[in-house]
Amino acid sequence: MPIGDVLPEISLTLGAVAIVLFASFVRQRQHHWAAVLALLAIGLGAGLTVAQWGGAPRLTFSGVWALDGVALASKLVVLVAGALVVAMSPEWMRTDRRHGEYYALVLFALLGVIMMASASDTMELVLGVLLSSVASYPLAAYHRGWAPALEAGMKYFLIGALTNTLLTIGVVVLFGLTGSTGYPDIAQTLATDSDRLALTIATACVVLGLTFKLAAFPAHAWMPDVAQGSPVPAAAFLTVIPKVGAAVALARFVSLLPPDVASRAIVALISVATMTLGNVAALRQTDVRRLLGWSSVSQSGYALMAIVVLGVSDQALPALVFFLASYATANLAAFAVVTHLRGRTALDDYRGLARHAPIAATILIVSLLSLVGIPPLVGFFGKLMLFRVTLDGGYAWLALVAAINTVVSLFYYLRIVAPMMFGNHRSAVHVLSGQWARATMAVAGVLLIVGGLGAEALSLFTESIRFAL
Amino acid sequence: MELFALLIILIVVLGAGLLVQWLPMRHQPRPRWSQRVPFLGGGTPDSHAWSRYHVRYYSMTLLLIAFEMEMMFMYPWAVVFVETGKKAMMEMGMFLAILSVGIVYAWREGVFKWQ
Repeated sequence: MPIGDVLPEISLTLGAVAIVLFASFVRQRQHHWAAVLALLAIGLGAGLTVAQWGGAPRLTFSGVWALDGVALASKLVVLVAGALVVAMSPEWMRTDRRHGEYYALVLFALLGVIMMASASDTMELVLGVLLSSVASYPLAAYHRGWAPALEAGMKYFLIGALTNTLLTIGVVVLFGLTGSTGYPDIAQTLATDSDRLALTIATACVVLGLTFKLAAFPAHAWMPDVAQGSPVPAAAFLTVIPKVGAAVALARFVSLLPPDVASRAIVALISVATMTLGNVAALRQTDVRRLLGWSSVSQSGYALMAIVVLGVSDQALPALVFFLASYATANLAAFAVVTHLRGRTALDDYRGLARHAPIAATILIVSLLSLVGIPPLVGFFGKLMLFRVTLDGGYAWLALVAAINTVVSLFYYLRIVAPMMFGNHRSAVHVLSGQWARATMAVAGVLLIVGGLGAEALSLFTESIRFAL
Repeated sequence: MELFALLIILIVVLGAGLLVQWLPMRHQPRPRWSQRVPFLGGGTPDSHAWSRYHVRYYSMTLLLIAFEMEMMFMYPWAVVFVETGKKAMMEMGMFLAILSVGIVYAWREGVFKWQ
């Protein structure tokens, strides 16, 4: 058994188990040390992942687990994003009775997302989706005494139960069709001949199941509620990290299908619907957290563009991973600022923030501009690569729709920025006491700018980002 | 025809059963209040027998997973164990160790206390 291939995952599991035991036996006031434990586990996992980098792309554990550039790169993105989420949490959770267990749930959800990104087997995919979902439901409803948090958790759970069932049905139909669950075998069997109607049903079910984790069009309804109602660090987690795993899993699955299933058209339609719906819904929001939730829906639509041109343009996978990384950085920076400002959420309360809390306001503005894709920031390079591969792949109309959507999105991002810069402030700015959230905010802001300046260097790695299959 | 015969048998059996119950009950008085109250080993009940009671399915489910689900995996494992030996022992040991953390957690959460 090649245990060495899953060492990062083992370090996450052991970290989570250690945190559960720690949180059971240590007094609540000491629970912020669980955050340190979680950071150690994530750091160890990231180090072990870097050590795996550079090998030839291959499948391991009898072909169910992929070790290729895409899996490793998305694993690194997920782990860094998870570390930022953990680092912004301790002060927010300080008064919660179950402070310590929160980090164990975060680690288990991270593990599920990593399984989604690495799965090269439909059963492994189901397992990853279920693990990340089940660990995420309690994160969404962590403040269970508060009605909006309960509503968010309930909505998340119900939509998740429905779509996870669909995913499982799709996997079962696919198994009936091909007689195997491993991706190489499935691709081989489908390439020769199979029932097209059953294959279409299976594809639709699996894609629907993954749109839930992506927060893309038919199963996006949980995202704004979760962004608004769940604890802000958990909202940062749920708007960013499941997307990374689900996008890679969807790309892996779509690459198996024979060309006559029209999977490109399906994904293109979902992409257009998702980005347009997310942007239109965000236009009139007066609640910043909800606005960030809708913007996260629209960003999923952009990410799907790279999956549409998968196989047509050879840079599609690097573009996907790079866009997801840039989006994760920007969104985590925005949520870190909101966490630092004690979850301040009404748009009116942001009036005049630039004068009273200049650093927080600057980082929020930079992250919002990066979400739009303004040049020197990392978000620009992510979107640039996306547009380039979409045009390369011959989907000019899709790129045009996305460009129009980007212009529209500028409007609502500036709706936050303008009152912050030019409004008059009325009351004092309350921030979380302590250094965790402040430091995370600063680190995420620095990452945004450094990532933008170092984007050229990052593009050196694009050669190795491809599937093992 | 067979189904019809079965139906006849069912009706006859049910009728006989009800008759056997009804015959000795014909002239008996209804049970008194003291006979009808819930049995509490001599104490007087202070709540109705039909009062609502929280079963706590949630914690029961978690306990079922912690205590019973491992058995589901141990039956097939027992078959493989003979061939594989020490390696199978190690794998099951890791699995049980992680599961038992769940039991420790449930104990610290007070799931085993009778409330």
